[in-house]
Amino acid sequence: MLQIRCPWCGEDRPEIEFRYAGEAHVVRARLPADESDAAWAEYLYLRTNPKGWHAERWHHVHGCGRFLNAIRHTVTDRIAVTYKPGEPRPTIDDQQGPTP
Amino acid sequence: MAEEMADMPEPERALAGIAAGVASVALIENGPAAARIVLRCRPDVASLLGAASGLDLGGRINTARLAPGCAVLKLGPDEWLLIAEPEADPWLGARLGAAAGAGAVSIVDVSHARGSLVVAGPSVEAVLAAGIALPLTIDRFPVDRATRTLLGKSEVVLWRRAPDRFHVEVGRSFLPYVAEFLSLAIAHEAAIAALPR
Repeated sequence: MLQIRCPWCGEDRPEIEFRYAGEAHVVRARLPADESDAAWAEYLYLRTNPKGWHAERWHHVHGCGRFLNAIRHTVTDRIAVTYKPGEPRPTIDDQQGPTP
Repeated sequence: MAEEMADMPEPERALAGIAAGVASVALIENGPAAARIVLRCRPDVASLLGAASGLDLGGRINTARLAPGCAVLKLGPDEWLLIAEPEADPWLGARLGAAAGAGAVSIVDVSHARGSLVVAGPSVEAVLAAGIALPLTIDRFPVDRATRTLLGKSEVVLWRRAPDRFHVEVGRSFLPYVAEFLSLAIAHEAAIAALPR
C-alpha cells in the first residue's frame, strides 16, 4: 500500500483513505462562454498523460476531507512531494527520480 | 414512517447476536448515548466562535480535547466533531448558534446518524489493526488522538481514550458490520493466542 503524505494532516496516511481526482493545475476559464470551442475542448478533455512526473489532485476523503496536489511518477508510482491546492507546482529534479 | 424506522439498526442493538469479545484479548461495548454536532467554518471564524462559545476549537488537527460535558474532535482543518452528553444537545446548539454571528458557519446535528462502540483490552491495537491501516502503537497514535479513517469497508472516527481503550464512531447503518468485524477480529486474535508455542 502506498503511504501518501497529507499536507493538511502533516503525516503519511494509507492510500485507501484517498481518492484520485485527476490532473492538477487544470484551470477553468472564468467565462467559459467566451472560450473558443478548441480551448474549451482542451480544458474538458485533453490531459498531458506523461510518462514520468505528473502533477495530480488527490482527495483525502476518508481522512481530513481536503484536496491536495501530488507530484507522482507514472512509471514507478513514487510520490516525490505533496502540497496544498493553490501552491505553485514544485519542480522535481529528475536526477532524484527513481529508475523505473 | 414507523415501519421505515424499524429497519434502521438501533445503535444500542448493534451488538445483538454477536460475541462481544474475549476478556484476555478485547471486549466490545456500546458507546454511551451522545449528542453529536458537526461544526465547519474557517479557522479565523473558529477562533471567534471558540471564544464566544467557550469551546476550545484550537489545537492540532486529528486530536481530541475534553471540555466539561463535551469532547471536541478536530477532524480536518475546518471541521470539528462535538460529542456531548445527550442532554447537552439544546444548550450546545444554542451556544454555538448564538456565537455564529462571527461569520459563515455550518452547525449540523448528526446525533441520530451515528452510533459508537468502545473497544478495550490488552490486545486492542492488534484487533483494530485487522481493519485499520494506520499505525496504532501508543507512540504513533497516542491517547486523545482522533481521526477519520477506514475500518474494513466502513468509514469510522477513531479516538484513543486510553492506552488500551478506543472509541469508534460509526455511521448508524454500518454499526452491525463494524461490530461483527471487530468480533471476528477478536476471535481471530484469541485463536492465535491459544496456539501451542
